Amino acid sequence: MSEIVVALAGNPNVGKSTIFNALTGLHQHVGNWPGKTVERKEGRLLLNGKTVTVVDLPGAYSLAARSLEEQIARDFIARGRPDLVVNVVDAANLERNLYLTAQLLETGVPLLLALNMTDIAASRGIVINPAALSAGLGVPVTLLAASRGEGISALKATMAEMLARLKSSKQMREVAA
Amino acid sequence: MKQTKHPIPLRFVDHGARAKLISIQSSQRIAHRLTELGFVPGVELSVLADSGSALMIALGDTRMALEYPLTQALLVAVLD
Amino acid sequence: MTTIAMPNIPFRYPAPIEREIEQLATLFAQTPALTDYPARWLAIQALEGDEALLAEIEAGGDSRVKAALAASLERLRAVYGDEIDIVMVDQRYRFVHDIAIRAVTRPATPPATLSDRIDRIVTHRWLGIPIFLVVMWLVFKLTTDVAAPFVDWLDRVLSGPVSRWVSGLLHLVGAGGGWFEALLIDGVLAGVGGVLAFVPVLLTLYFALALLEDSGYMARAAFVMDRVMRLFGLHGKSFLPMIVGFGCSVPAIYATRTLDSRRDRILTGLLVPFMSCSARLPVYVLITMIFFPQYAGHVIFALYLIGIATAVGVGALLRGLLFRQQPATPFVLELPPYRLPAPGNIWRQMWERTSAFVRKAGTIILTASIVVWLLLAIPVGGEGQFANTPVEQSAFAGLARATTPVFAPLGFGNWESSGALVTGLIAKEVVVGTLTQVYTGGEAAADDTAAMTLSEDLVLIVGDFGAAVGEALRALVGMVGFEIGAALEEPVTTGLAAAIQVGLATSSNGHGELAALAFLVFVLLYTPCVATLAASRHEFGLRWMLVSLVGQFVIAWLAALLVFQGGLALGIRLPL
Repeated sequence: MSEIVVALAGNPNVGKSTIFNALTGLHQHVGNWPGKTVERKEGRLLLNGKTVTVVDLPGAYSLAARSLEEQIARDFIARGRPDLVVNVVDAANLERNLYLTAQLLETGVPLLLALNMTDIAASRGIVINPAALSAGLGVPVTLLAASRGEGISALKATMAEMLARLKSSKQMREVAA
Repeated sequence: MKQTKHPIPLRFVDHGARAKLISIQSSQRIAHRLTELGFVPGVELSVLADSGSALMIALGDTRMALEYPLTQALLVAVLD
Repeated sequence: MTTIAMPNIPFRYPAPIEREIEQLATLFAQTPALTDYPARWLAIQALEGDEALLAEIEAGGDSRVKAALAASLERLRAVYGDEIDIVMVDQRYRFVHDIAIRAVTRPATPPATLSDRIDRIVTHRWLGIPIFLVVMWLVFKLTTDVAAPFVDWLDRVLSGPVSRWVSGLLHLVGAGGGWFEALLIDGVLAGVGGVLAFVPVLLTLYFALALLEDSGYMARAAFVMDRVMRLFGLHGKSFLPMIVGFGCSVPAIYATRTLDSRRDRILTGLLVPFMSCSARLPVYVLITMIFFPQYAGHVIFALYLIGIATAVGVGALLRGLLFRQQPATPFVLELPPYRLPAPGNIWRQMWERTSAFVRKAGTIILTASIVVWLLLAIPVGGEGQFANTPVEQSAFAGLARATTPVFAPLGFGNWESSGALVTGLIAKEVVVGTLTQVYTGGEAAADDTAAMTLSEDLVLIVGDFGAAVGEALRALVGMVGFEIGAALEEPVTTGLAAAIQVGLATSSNGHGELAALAFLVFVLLYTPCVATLAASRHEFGLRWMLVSLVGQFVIAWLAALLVFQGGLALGIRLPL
C-alpha cells in the first residue's frame, strides 16, 4: 500500500503552520528539501485508522516561482502530485488568496479549500457564503479559525471523506483500465 | 465618480486619497509579479504610509510595502 | 493507450490563447521527458513565460515541441504584444473576482481596522524608527540580562557538580586521575558547556523574535528599516538576519533563507558576522575592565558601532566588486494584520530553532574544543607528559608562537593573545577562558573540589537555579535601567588583570592600551566562530565561506593595524 500524502499550500501569513501544528501535533519532522536548504516540515496524522503524511509547503503567492521557497512548493504540487492539496486561504483577504487557488486548479490536483481566519473576516463585517464559493471553484470548502482551534475537526472530516472518495475513484479507474 | 484626466505615478498620490490602477510601466518580469500580487488594472489603491524609501499601500484588504521605484511604475487615476 | 480524463477546467483563457494551450498540451503529453507535469498546466506556464519550465522544455523536448512552442508564442505576440502573461494573470483574477462577487458580501464602508490605526503610529515616517529602536532595545535587554543568570547557572552546574560526578564515576570504575579524566572534563564537558551556554540566549532571542513575528510587527520593522538597510546595499527584508546577528551569527545566517534572491542571501550572509554577537561581549567586558575601567561602557558601545560601520563599507565594496552584474531584487512585502500571538506557536518556534542550532553547531563546537584540549595536552619540548604539561610547553603554545609574527604589527604579538584568538574560533567567549588559562596556569577557574554528597550537589543545583530565576525576574523588572556592566559582577582577579596588562605592554613596547584596543577591534571583526563558517558553507557553499573567512581576517587585521599604528603615529596616550 502506498503512502497517502496531503500537502498544505497557501500564501504566506495565512495561518498555514497553525493548521499544520493542529493537524499533526507532536508527530512532526523537520528536515531539508533534497538539495536545498529550505526546511521541509512533515508530520503524520491518523485519519479513519489510516496514517496520512502531511507536508507543510513554503508559503507562495503564485506557482510562477520567483523565490526558492515558491519553487519548492510548485515542484511538489506539479511534479510530486500529492493525493490531496489543502489550500489554506485568508478569509479576510480572499480575492488575492484565490489567485493561487486558480493556479492550483489548473494543475488538476485534488483540492480542498480551507477558509481560515473567518473570525478576523467577521470582525471586519465580511460575510462569506461557503456554498457559493464551493460551487464557483468546484471544490469542497471548509471554514476555520485555526488560531482559536475552531474548525480543525471539520477539516479532518472533509479530508478523510475526500481521500476515501479519491481512493475509490482511483480503484475504479484502475479496474476499468 | 470623477477621475483626473492624466494617470500619475502612485508615488505622488496624497496619503489617504483613493486611486484606481490604470497600468504598470515596468519590465515584464516586474509587471508580472505585481499583477500576481493583486496589482491588476482597475483595482483601487490608497497610500497609508511612507518610510522614506517605500510606501505602504492598501490594496483591498491587503497591506503591501512597495519600494519607491515600483510605486513610480504604477500609473493611477486619483478618485475623489 | 488509456485515455486520460482531463480534469474539469474551471475557467478558460481568451480563444487565441486557449487554442495554443490545447495544441501545446497535446504535444507535451506525448513527450516522455515532460510527462511528470500536468500537460495543460505546463502549456499555460510556458506561454506565461516561466523561465525554469521553459528551460526544462528546451532540454527535454524534441525539435517538433520547440518549434511548436516558438510558433505559438509568435502567434500570440501578434495579438497581445509583450503582455501575454499579463492577459493570463488578469484572466485568473477575473475568474476569482466573479466568484468573490457571488460569495463575499462586505460592508459598504469598510471600518477603519485596528490594524490600520496601529500602523498610523508604528509605521509613521518619523516615529517608526524610534519605536523600532525601543523594541530592539527591549529584545536585547531580554536576551542579555534575562538569559545571563541561566548561562552562569549552567556554567556553575557543569564545572561544579557534573564535573565532580564524572570524576567520581571514573574513580569508581578505576579510570580516574589520568588523561582520560582530563579529556572528559576539560575537553568534552567544556565543549558541552560551550554549546549549552548558547541555549538560554537563543531561547530568549527566539522567544522575542517569534513574538514579534507572530504579532505582525516584524513586517512593519522591515518596512520602517528599509531606508536604513539600503545603506548596506540591501533592503528591508534583510533587516531580520542582521538583527539576529547581534544575538548569534549562526541563526542569522540561516535566517537569510527568507530572502528572495541568492544575491541578497549571500550579501546579507557576508555582512551578518560584523554585527557584534553576544558571545563577543564577555571578551569586551574583560579587556575594557582591565584597561579602561572608567570608559568600559563607551568603548563597548563604540565597538558595536564600528561593526555596523564596517558592514556598511563592506556592503558598498561588495556591491561594486562582486555583485555589480546583479541588481537588487525590488522590495515588496505583505504586511499581515496585527494579531495576538499564539503561545503554542511561539513555544514551538523557540524549541525548534534552538534545538536545530544545538544539532547543527553542537558537534562542531564539541569537536573543536576536543582538538584544542589535545593541542594543550601534547607536550613539545620540556619534560612534560601527555595531558600533564605546562601550557607554555604544549603543542598549543607552539602553534600560537608560530602565528605571533602576524599579530606583531598590531601590538599583540605575544603567544598568549594569538592563542586566545585561535581558540576564539570555537566561540568568542572562549577567548576569556583561554586568556585565564594561559596567564594563570588554568587554576584560577578551578572550583572548590571539596567532597560533597549527591544530595548537597542537588540542593546546590536547585537552589542556584532558583537564584537564577530570581535574578532573571529582577532583570525583567529593571529593564528600564541600562547597565552594561551587569555581566561583570564578579570582579576580574587582580592576578589575571596584571598578567594581561604586563603581557600586552611587553608585546607593544609600552603601549598596552592601544594594543588592547586593537585586540578588541580584531575580536570584533574576524570570523565569529567555526559554527558560523559551517553555517555559511551549508547555505552559500565552500567558495563563499572562504571569501567570508579570508575577507574578515584581512579586514580585522587592517582595522587593528590602523588602530595600533595610527594611534602610535598620532602619539595618542590612552586613556585620554
